[in-house]
Amino acid sequence: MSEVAIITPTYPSLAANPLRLELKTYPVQFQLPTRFSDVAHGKRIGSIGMARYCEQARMQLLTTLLGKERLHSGTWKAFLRQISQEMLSAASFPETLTVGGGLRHIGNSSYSLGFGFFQGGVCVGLCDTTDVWVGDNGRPTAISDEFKNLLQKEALPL
Amino acid sequence: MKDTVNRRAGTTYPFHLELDTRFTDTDLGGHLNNVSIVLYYRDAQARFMLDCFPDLAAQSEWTPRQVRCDVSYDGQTYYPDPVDVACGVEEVGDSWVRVAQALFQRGQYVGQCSAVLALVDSQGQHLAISPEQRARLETRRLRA
Repeated sequence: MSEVAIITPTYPSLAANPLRLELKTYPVQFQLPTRFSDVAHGKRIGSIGMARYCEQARMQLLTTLLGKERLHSGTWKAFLRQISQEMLSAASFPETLTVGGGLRHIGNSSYSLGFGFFQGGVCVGLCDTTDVWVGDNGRPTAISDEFKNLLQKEALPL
Repeated sequence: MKDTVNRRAGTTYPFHLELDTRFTDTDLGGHLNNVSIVLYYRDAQARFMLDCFPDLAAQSEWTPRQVRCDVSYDGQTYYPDPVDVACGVEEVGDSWVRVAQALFQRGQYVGQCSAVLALVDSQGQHLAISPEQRARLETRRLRA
C-alpha cells in the first residue's frame, strides 16, 4: 500500500483511560519472558504472540489471586467468554515483559480482569478479559462468596 | 459488540475461509483452545486482505498490522473438524479498517471477532488509507 501521510489513528482504544498506561495502576505485577517463536518481523512481537501473553497473564493473575491449589482442585470452573487486546507499540524480543493486572469488575456469574504489558517502562499493550463462572451443567452460575472475596482482593482503581 | 447486521449468519459475510484444525490446537478437554481461535481469525484476516489487495503479497511487510481485536467465545469448537472463518469490512477509518469476523464449525456459529487493522510504516507510524484502497474495502462490506 502506498505511503500517503502519517496521521493519528481514531479507532476506539482501551487506552482512553490514561491510568491504564501506568504500571503503578495495577495491584499485581509479574515478569513474563518473551519467546523467539512469538516474533513476527525483525525483533517485533506479533499479535499472536501478544494473544499468548494475554492468556498466560490471565492464568498467572488467577493463580496469584486464587492460589494454585484452588485453581486446579476442580472447584474453579470458569471459561473465557471475551477478550480484547490492543497493541500500542512494538514489544520486542528478547526483552522481558512486565505485566500489571487486577480485577476490573465482578458480577454475579462473571468477572473481568485488566492487564497492561510494559517494556522499558513503556506500555506496549493492553488486554481485558471476561470469564464466566459455570456449574456442573455448563451453564452460568453464581460465583461462590469464597472466590468472590479472593478475586476482589486486587481490584484495579479504575 | 454492537450488532447492526446479523453477525451470526454466514450470509452476512462476503469472504469465507475454511481452515483445518490441528491436534496441537487443543486443550486437555479436546476443545480448540483460546489462543488457537485467535490464530484462525488472524490467518483469515491476512487472506481477506490478500483477496482485497492481491498486489500486497509482493511487498515485504505486506499485511496491515492488527492493533486491536475483540474476540467473543460463544460456543465450543472441536478437533478434527475444520472451521469456517467469515470476514467482512465493518468500518473504514482514516488509517485503519475494522474487519468483522465470525467462526462456524459443523454449520453452527461459535464466535466472533472484531479486529482493527492499521496501515503502518516500518517505524510504526500510521499511514492514511488512499481513496482507491477505501473504494476496494467498501466493496467487501458486511451484508445487511
